[in-house]
Amino acid sequence: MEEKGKVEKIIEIEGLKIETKKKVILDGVDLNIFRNSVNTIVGPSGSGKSTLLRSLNRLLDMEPSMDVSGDVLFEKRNIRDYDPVELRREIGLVFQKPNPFPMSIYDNVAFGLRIQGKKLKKEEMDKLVNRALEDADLYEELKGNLKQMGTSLSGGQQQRLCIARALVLRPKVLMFDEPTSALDPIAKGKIVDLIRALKQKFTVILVTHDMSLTRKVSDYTNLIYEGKFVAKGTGTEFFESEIEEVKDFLSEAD
Amino acid sequence: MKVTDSYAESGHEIQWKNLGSRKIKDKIAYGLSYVVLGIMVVILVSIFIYILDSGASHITLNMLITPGNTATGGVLNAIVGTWELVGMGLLFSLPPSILGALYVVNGRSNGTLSMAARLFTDVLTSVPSIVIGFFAFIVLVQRLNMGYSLIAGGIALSVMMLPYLMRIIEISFRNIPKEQIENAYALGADDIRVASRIYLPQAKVGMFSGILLAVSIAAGETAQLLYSAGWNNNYATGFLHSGVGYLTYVVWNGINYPTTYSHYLAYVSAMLLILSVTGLIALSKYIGRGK
Repeated sequence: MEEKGKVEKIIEIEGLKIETKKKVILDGVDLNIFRNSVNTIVGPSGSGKSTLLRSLNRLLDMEPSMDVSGDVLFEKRNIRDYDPVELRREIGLVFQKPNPFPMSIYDNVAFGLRIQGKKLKKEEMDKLVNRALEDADLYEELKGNLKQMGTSLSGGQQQRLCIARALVLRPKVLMFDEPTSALDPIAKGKIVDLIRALKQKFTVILVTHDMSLTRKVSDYTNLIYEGKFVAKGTGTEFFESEIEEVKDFLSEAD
Repeated sequence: MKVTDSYAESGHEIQWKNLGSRKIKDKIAYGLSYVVLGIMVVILVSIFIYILDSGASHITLNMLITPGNTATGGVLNAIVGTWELVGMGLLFSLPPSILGALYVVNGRSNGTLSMAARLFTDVLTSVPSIVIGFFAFIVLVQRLNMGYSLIAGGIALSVMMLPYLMRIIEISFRNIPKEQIENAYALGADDIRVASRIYLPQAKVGMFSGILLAVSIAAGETAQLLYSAGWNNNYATGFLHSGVGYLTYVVWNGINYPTTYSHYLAYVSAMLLILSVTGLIALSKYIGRGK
C-alpha cells in the first residue's frame, strides 16, 4: 500500500521513538501527514496513538518520564527548532472529552487569542470568534447566546466549542484525539460532517478506534499496533487490505 | 432450582451467621465513636462557654478602644497588632505557597524535587512553634538586627502558615480537571498564562478558604511571636525595631499578672480570639463547601 505521491506532505515523522524507563511506546515509527486531508491513525487501546499526537505539538515535553528521539518535520522544519508555544498554535489539538473552560462561550473561543497577549480591537476579536464558531458549525445554533457558560452546552456542542476554540488560532493542522467517543450518535454525526468540511481549510489528523468514523472521513488510514505502524494506505485501500493485522483489527472493531 | 440449592450450600447460611456478630461489632464501634464524639463536644463546648462567659461579663467599651500594657488600659494595640502580624505572615507565605503548589502539581519536575518540597512542608507542620520562635530570635532579631518587629514576627508566622497554605492550594489546583490544563497548553498558553488564566481563577475559592484557615491558625499563635514580635504597650511605629502587641500575649501575661483587671483583660482577649478563630474557620468551611 503506497501513499499518494502527489499530495504535499505537511508533517514527516522519521524514526520517532518514545519510551519510558519501563516501556517502549512508539518504536521508531515513520509516517507522513498530507496537507488538506484527513489522516487517520487507528489501533487498539494502548498502542501509542494518543502519545503520538501529543508528541507532534510537543505536549510530551511536559512529561519528564517520556524519552523522545527521532525527528518530526513540520513544513520541512524540525519541531525541536520551534518554540513549543508557537508550534501549538500551528498544530491544534482537540481532546477526547469535551472540556470547555468554566467561562462564557465567547471567552472560551477567545481564550487562545487573548493568551497571545495581542491587543485586538473588539470588532476584530468578534470577527475571529464568529468565524471560528462558523467553522465549527456552531454559530447558527448559538448566536445571540455567546455570554452563556460554555459548560452549560450539550456534550456535542461542547465538543464543537472545543473545536472552535482550537480553530480560532487558524492552525495549519488540527488533531483530534478520539473526538466522538464521548458523544451520542446524533452529536457524532455532526462531528463527522464537520471533519469532512474542515479538511478543505485545514489538515486533519484523527486518532480513533471507531472504524465507522474512519470509513466515513479518512483519506489516509494508518494502523498502529504495539508501537509500530503495521499498515498504511488510502481509505479504500486500507479497508481492502490483506494484511493480517488489518483484517484482525477490522473484524474485532466491527 | 439447582442454582438455588448450590447457592444455599455455598456458604450463604454461614454468611448470615457472621452477619449477626458483624452487627454487634458494628454497634459497639458506633457506640464508642459516639462516646468519643460526646467527650470532645463536651470539652469544646465547656471551653467555649467558659471563655465567652468570662469575657462577656468583664468586657467594657474602653478595653476595645484604648491600647494597654496587659495590666492597665485596653487591648486595641493587641487587636491591631494581631492582624498586622497575620497580614505580614500572609504576605510572606502566600506567594511562595502558590509558587510551590504550582511547581508540585504541574508534574514537569522529575518527581524528586516535588517529593522534597512536600516532605519539607510536612516537616515544617510538625516543628514546634517555640522552635520556630527561637530560630527567628537568633537569626532575624539578633543576627539580621531586625529587633522585635512586625517583619520578624511576620516571617516567624509565615514559616508556620506556609505548609498549611501550600497543601490547601495544592489540593485546590489538583481539583481542576487535568484536561483543562492540557487544553490551555495545547492552545499555546505558556506556564505563566496557564497559572494566571486557569489555575488561579479556578482555584480561588479553595485558596480563599485555605487562607482563612491559615489566618485563623496564625491568629492563635503565641510562642514564635514572644521571640520575634516581642510586645508593645502601644502601636508598632514601624516595620523594624518596634515591638508589636498581640492578643495571645495579653492572655498569657494577663493571667500571670496579680491584678483582677489584668485577668479581665486576659478573658476578653481570649474571647476575642476564640470568636475570630471560630468565625474564620466557619467562614472557610462555608466558602469551601462542596470543594
